[in-house]
Amino acid sequence: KVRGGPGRGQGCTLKQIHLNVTDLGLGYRSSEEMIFRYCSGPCRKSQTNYDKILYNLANNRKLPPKDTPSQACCRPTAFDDDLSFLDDNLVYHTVRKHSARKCGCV
Amino acid sequence: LDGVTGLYFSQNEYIETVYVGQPAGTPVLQVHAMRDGDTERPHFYLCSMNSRRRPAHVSWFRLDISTGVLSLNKTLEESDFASFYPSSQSVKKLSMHVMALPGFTKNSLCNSRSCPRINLEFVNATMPQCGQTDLKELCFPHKDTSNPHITENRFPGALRQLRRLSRFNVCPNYTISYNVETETPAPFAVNETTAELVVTAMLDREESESYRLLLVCTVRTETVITKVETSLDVFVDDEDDNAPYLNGTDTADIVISFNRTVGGSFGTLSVFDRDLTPIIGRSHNKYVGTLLNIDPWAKETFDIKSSFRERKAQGGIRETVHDYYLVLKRNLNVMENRTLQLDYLVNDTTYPGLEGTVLLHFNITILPVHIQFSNITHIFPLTRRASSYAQVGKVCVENCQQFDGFRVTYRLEVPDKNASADAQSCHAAVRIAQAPDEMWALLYVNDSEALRRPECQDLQYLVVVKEEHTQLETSTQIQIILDNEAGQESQPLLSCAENRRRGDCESARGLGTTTGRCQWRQGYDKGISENYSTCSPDLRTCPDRFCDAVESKDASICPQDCTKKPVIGGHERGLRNGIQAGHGTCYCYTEKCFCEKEDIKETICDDMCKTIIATAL
Repeated sequence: KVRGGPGRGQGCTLKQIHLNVTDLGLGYRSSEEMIFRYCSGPCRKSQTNYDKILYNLANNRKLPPKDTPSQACCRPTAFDDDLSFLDDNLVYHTVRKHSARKCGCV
Repeated sequence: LDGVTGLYFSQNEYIETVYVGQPAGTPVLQVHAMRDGDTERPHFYLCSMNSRRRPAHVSWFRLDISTGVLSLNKTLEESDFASFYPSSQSVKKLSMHVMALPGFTKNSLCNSRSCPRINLEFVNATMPQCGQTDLKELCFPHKDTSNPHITENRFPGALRQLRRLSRFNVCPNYTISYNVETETPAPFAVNETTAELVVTAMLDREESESYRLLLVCTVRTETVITKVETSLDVFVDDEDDNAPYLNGTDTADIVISFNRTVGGSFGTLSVFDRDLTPIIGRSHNKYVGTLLNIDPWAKETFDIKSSFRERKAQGGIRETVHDYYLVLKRNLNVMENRTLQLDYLVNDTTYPGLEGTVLLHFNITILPVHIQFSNITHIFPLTRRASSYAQVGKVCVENCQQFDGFRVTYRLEVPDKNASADAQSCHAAVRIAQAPDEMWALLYVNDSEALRRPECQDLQYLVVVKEEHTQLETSTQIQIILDNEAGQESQPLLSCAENRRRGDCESARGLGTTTGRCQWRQGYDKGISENYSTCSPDLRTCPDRFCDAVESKDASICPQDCTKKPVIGGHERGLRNGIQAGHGTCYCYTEKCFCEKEDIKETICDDMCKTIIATAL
């Protein structure tokens, strides 16, 4: 369940999905499974005047066209513990910083 | 053999069950000690392993000093059962130790570590009557797991009471007898009067390490005869009754040449012994070796080391192999040139016979190492477009890859020291690099500007090699042939490894490129592969999973081989540094490397395209 009362909308939150290691697309061949946690949700609530100004400037084409700074976005602020698994050739692998633990609008 | 070792028990645990209501005087079980001779008479005692107070239950039992029969000293009462704390379980474990001595004693401390434990289960119930007892229970304890061990070369005798003494009177109308069967003839029998299992002859472990016996219990009632069987493994324990022997040669011919490092080992001579060598508590088969008539120089230089292992000889009987090899105690000087013989006497110190030694010979030839180049001149081609850190070539004195235990260093010199300043500056074009643990050196481009200057045409150098201890020097001429192509304009060089695509890579000028352009390696393997796609300054040296002396000079030259930082994406790390294998394409920004597979959507010919091709045809 997402924290925050009804009507306040869902902000940037931590979500999770059950995956096979092969689903990560990193090339590892293993039948092991894992829980992958990721951050998603809008970041409107954490907007500042800076973001408003940027948005207005970009909309009014006052900024160079290829130079639009990005808005605040929902990203991990901390990562899960390392993921270790055996692959099909019985080689041990450890993947670091692979799954989110905390999320924030940054 | 006459090594007297005294009485010993053939098993280290005895188990039985006792019940409430069993009267005083009831026999429980019988222990046996193996003897060394016909005249020896064991005296059995209950004993404690430490000097703390004996548990109270020990006084409920009495051990017959000469027969080893344990019997009840008192009738077991329900109050005896209740005297234990905590009293929740329906079965209590009573344990005590037993020792055997050749004479009388008043000491109640166990005399050695091999005093068997008697484990009795005290059940809070009366003993089942004949009608409720399974025939199997009458014949054998249901969970006796202790297998007898008999030492080889000992006096034969009784080793186990087969009868369940405590159940003997449960069914007075039954006649119970035992006999022993074996697949192959074995020296075991049952004494019909006492129902004891007896070993009838001396055993030899080198003949058979164990015997599988089938114990048959025959129960006769007035109407039926029933047979109950159980198997028993009897193991034969080893003692040192075999002298060491050689299987083939007693001489090792050893030539020491390029490898002369301290700790280096040479030659192996094996000494065999049909006896076993225990790893823990080296009680027997102890080997001691001595170097004979050794001069002080050899004493400081050589040592004989040994290790032993077990193997199965003919017939599947285990035996010991002792391996002896020569070890250098110090680095040998490259000039050292001599021959010598070391004689090594191996003695099986626990073998009681006379021939317990073997003499080994190590014939050692130490050859001097000639540090020299096989060629007087080396010619290396080089393009004027080569950039800084481009590898020009490798220099190695003869057999340098095999050197160990001494060090040679390479340096680059200008042949004509009186040359003009212009010529001198041309020579700055090339330098030499050597990794601390390598015996070869690499020539590389140091100043790519100098290469491009038209006046720098004839690059000649002298590579001088010096041995560290003897200061001996040797040298070779190096000639670098430059092509006549004009060099490109100099511009700041990037790392080739930054390029993620073939097109970008092959049009980029990068650090360490021999041709001026980066080179692309296309991998086709699926998953994580050593043959990943990447952009490199020179595919002969990068990536080769080895960070060489030139590549380690700048992190941008070949981060694929040299990076020390974590790699992002699917990969396997190299043994020391770098990427061993990667997924898809690996690219690096300075030291930070990424491996990823790009889903390149191949432009499939759609319907429109097919129509166009069809009409064109």
